[in-house]
Amino acid sequence: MSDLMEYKCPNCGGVVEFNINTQEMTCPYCDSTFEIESLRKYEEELAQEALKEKKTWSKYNVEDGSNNWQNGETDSLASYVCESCGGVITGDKTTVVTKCPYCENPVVITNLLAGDLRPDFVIPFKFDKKQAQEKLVEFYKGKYLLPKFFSEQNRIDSIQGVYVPFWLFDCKAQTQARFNATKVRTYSDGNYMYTKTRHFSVSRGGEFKFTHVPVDGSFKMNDAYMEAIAPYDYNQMLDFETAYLSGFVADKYDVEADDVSERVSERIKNTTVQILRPSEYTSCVLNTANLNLDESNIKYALLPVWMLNTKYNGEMYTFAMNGQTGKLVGKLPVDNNKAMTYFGLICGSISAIAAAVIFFVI
Amino acid sequence: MKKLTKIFLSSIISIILFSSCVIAETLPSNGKKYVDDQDNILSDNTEIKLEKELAQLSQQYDCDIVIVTFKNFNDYDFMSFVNDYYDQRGFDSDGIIYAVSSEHGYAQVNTHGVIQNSISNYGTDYLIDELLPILSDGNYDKAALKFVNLSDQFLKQAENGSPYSYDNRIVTINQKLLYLLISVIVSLIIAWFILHSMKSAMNTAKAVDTAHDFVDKNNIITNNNSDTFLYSTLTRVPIPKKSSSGGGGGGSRGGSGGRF
Repeated sequence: MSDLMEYKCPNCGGVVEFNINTQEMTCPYCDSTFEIESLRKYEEELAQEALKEKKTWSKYNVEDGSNNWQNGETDSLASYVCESCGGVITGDKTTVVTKCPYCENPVVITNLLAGDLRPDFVIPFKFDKKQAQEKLVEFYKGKYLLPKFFSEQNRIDSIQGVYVPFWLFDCKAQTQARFNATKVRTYSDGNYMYTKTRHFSVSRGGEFKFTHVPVDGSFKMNDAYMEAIAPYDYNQMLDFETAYLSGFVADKYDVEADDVSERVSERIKNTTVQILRPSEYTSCVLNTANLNLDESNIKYALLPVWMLNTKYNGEMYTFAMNGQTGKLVGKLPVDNNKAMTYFGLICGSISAIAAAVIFFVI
Repeated sequence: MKKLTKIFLSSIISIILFSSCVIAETLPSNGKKYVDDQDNILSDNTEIKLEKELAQLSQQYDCDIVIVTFKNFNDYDFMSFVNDYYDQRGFDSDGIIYAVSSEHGYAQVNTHGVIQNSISNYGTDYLIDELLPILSDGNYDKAALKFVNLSDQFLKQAENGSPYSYDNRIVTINQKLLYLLISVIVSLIIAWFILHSMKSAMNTAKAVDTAHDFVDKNNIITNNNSDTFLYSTLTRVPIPKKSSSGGGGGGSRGGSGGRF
């Protein structure tokens, strides 16, 4: 006895039935009609794609990396603990570290460095403190809603060069994405305007290679800031040496690579789906996407960031600058009076032009 | 007796002279009567005023502009009845007539000859739409004066080379105020979007949900591509019709009517 094959409507999910009059498969719920061959092909493709996606990353391999401190290597380093946020930062002993670069509270010296993983790579700072301050002034330009007092005073309560711990993810990604797409054609017979919409199920697959997708390994560091200041030029990335820490502090990672791998997978998946999205259709909506990771590898690196903090109206404003490229990001205060003035000016100007057209041209 | 005869004759002569004066005042020099208030629904003053204005406009635009009110009309359609009236009274082949029957609640505006090019059916529709509410209020004088005013506007517009049509409508002050209100709302929305964009620029520390900077763009292999047609849908929307003048010159006619 053969199994009764049942097809589901790609439009609404209802079970489609054979219509004797039209000799086509018809959905009794949304009235869509299909050729049986199209439905069979669609179901087959869905079944093939139903294979579970694989988003498992390799573990960070301690043995592979240069992550064992050499004898005496940590002698020149000192660790500090923030009494407020509990963060642990590292600096060489000649660097005077008194405040936490994240929360501005005092730090105390400790000896927790031993046993921590040694970074694989480091990108040295290219911009100094003065250049970071200049970049901040440049950043204010064109920000019309910035309070006058904030920009005029140019007060920076603290500026600190920090080597931020980053996990760098490498992988080969295979993505199979399915889109619901339409092609729309309009035409007229003089009496009516017709719109014919053809619906397609579009499948696109691809293989991609990702190199050094960075995710910060610091719990205290705002992830959005670190994603926004990327990318770094990895051609200038060097094997880690403690000498690069001189004059700066280094944050110790306190978020494991496993804990951030989901975020990396999400970013990789979004990227591949955007690349695979077909452009030849009028509309295209993602239906499903399966990501399979292969040849994954994780490295641990310290990347340079200038942290600039200032207080305004009792609120802390933090800016982060890529210490290699000079890209600066941050959140500025908004002058509400200026905002209302601009709103009134824009609204008034458009209304005045419209009034002139309405009363003098029409 | 002689005295009585003298008084009688004097009175007759006075009446004749007075009537001549009135007729001279109400009838144009060509002898046409542009206002025929059979239904007696127009006030005397308005009638005199209308007669004067219609004669002047008729001369100005080289056509006949006529107003007639009917007490009764035969039971065939009002439009034809009005057209017959216009034809039988020997008016110019080019003209416009506004007719009202208060008893039956009919109002009609018909155009004749080349006036159809100046005032198309779109125009007569507009006229009727404007006049019916006034007629419903029983304000026949006001409706007649409005007809004269709008006809003058339409004919002037046509003379200037842009006859009243769908693309060349009269915009009333209320419509202009409505447009202004809409433009203020639109400007509020635009201002909000611009301000939102300015506020957004104040915060550049935003998460990045993709990793385009880290993909090797020279090493992308696409495969397993398929496009499966599922079904198609067809919708249709009627195309709005623009009113046309309904024919050129000669004996052709157009017009619009309605009930109040």
